[in-house]
Amino acid sequence: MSMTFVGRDKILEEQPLLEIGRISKSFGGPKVLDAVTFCVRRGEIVGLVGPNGAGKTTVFNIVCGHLRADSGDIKLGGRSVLGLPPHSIARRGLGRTFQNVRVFGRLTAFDNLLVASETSRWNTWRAMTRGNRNAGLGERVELALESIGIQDHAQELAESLSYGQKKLLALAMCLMADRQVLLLDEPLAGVQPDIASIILARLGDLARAGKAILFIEHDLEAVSSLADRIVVLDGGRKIAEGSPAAIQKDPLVLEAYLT
Amino acid sequence: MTMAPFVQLLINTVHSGVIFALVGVSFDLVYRTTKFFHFAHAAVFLCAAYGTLAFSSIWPQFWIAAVAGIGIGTIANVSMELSVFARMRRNRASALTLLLVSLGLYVVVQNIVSLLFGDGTRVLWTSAVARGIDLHGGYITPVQLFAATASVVLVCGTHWTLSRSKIGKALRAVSADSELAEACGLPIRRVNVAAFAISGALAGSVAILVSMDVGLNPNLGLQLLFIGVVVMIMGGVGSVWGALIAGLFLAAAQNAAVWWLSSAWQDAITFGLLWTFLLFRPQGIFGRKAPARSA
Amino acid sequence: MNYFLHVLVLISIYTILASSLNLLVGCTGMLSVAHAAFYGLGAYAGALAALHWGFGFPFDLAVACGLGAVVALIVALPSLRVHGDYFVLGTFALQMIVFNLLNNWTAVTGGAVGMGRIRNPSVFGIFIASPLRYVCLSGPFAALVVWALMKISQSSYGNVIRAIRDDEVLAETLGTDVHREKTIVFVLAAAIAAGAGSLYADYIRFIAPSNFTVQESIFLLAIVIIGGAGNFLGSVIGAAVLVALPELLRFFDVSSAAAANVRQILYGVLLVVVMIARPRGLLGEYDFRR
Repeated sequence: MSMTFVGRDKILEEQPLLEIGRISKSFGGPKVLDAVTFCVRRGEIVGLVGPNGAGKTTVFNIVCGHLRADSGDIKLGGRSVLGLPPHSIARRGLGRTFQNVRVFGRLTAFDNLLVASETSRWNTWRAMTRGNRNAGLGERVELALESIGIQDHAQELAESLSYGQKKLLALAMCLMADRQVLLLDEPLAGVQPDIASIILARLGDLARAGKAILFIEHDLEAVSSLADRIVVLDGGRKIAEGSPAAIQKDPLVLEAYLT
Repeated sequence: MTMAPFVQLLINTVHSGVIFALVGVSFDLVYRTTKFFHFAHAAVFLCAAYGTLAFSSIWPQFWIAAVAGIGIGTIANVSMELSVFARMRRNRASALTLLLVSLGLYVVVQNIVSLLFGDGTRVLWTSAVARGIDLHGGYITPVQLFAATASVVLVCGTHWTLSRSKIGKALRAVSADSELAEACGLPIRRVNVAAFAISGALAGSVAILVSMDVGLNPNLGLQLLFIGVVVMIMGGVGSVWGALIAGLFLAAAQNAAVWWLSSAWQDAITFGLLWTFLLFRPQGIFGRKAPARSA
Repeated sequence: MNYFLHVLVLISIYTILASSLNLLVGCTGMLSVAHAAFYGLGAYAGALAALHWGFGFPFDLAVACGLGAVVALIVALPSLRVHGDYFVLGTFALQMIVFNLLNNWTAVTGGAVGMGRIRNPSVFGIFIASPLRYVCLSGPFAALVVWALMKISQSSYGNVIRAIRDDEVLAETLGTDVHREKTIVFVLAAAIAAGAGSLYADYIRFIAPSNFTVQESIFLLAIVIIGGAGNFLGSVIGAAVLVALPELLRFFDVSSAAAANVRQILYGVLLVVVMIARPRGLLGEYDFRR
């Protein structure tokens, strides 16, 4: 993974890595999402905030392909991914973590990362005949384990890791297959400060390396320190978008959070 | 060209169709309460039918034996739930675990029945062999007419119970979201027992109705379960009208297959129907939400 | 001695059946009650291929496996798109329909009466009829199947299917084509079971639909569970225990009709007890807890 530093001007000129265009969705009743539009550029960290039930996780589910939008379009790296199955979208460069941290509990931490790294160039026959400790992949997994600090727990079942360690593992799994766009659902929720700082540092590194990061968080304050830009949803609609400073003063946003 | 063959086809379809619907409804009740493939439901059919057989040798009045048989079916369903499945669910057993236990229970019950009553077909109801009632050229025996009528009554009665009565609404609430229902103060355990009691009574009734017509053998449970599963999938989970339409549709397709092709094709048609529904409309005719995997 | 070898042949055939089912249920978490249907399809396909074409045992085996694979592919297409529960229901429907087909298509299968006078196979010109010779055929086959499945289980692929078993949605989010892999596993398991059917038909030389019922599918599940889900040596031991144990019933004075029932009650009870007390079985690593 090369670390390239991208100039700010260059970022603004390029096509955004993730474009969400007028996405609407309803579950047979009132609209859960109503013409939501925003984008995330290379090297940007965008925070998606809003009160409970604003539709943030639904946006994630639609971008990932787990839900189908009623109308609108999603573009990944300039190409539309609307209607594609989740695994195809993932292979096009999308990584995601879940609000209730999800890892493969009954696999070891090592195997979790191995599974995550397999999927970019998949060939069934080769996978069946290849041993489990393939040297090339194994090295990458070791590096990943070290970078999140759980190399001592590599052979433990993932379900026995602490909550914070699982969160780190889920994040690392996201990164194993060279994804360019990352969707992180509450990456800092419920973790100890020391782990939180590891995560924050990592996210900063990833953005500098050119990844586009969109994350959901509830706490407006926490978001402000991490995000370059904030998008605020309320009742399925985007009500504000801008820098953290601007958002914190926005009357519409404050109203949404208070009511 | 006479009308008679078509009238017969129609009579056969309606007769089978409503009975299929009743089977589907009894299984659907259990499925939406437990959310796993309750294979042991097949055992309930057996308990009721063979229970009636056993009682009818003690009591000459068939109707008393039949009611007792329905009682056995109800008790079997409820006691299986309370003694085995409810406890396992409290220990957070997964759906797969419950299903495997359910399979084991069925095997045990079916073989006990085989041991006690033999593998051959037993007669449950003997009537004077009459030509059957003539309806515009088609024939239906009194037993079949009774079975069809009873099925319609029971299906409609179940629909009314589920949509209007207090217990019905409670049942639907619990099956839609049991945690929310519990939070609203519904007595989950009692509601579940009611669901199993109703389902057991329905299952027992239909098993007896069918056995009165064609006799009973230890595979009756499986055959009825199969019908129930197909009807439920085609009609949609949680819909009584869906079960009715699906039952009639299935009966029509099967009878048409037997009429134009041969009886060997009956199941090919059933398979084709099921395959088509799973592929294009897995939620069934009236199913509420598509049962797809969700994040 | 012949009797002992006969039991060994049966154990080897059931080992093949149980291990293939184990790949499906134990490793990938896909519960199927249709395994006996593929077993039966393979048995009839192999017997019919020998009867109508007579190109030799390897050909019959290929036909059997091929039919199993094709039917599995057709079934998997719609059934895997929906919730896991519906998949089980779908396999149940398949099992019932295959049984009814074998039972009613009298012109082709002989119906409920069954199909007899199946010739013993000859491999490389050697005629294989006696239990001793048959053990030398079915034994290595069983060993090969177990070895191959263990290799797959220990490979990268095994990792992925266990991940699918654990959390399908997560696997998909990471880029695994879950539908595709599940289809492949289902087709592979079905093909192997069908092959076992062909072996069985050529050995017993008489097959009837009653050999391939739902109860038989449940019996195969019981072997997988008791031996241990996810562990193929467990399937070998499970097969040995559940096949050999009922033979001990012969020493008790039980009539043969009742013996079949008692045998089934025994494995039914075992299945329930194991699932409640120790779902992992003897050697398994998967306990079905979600």
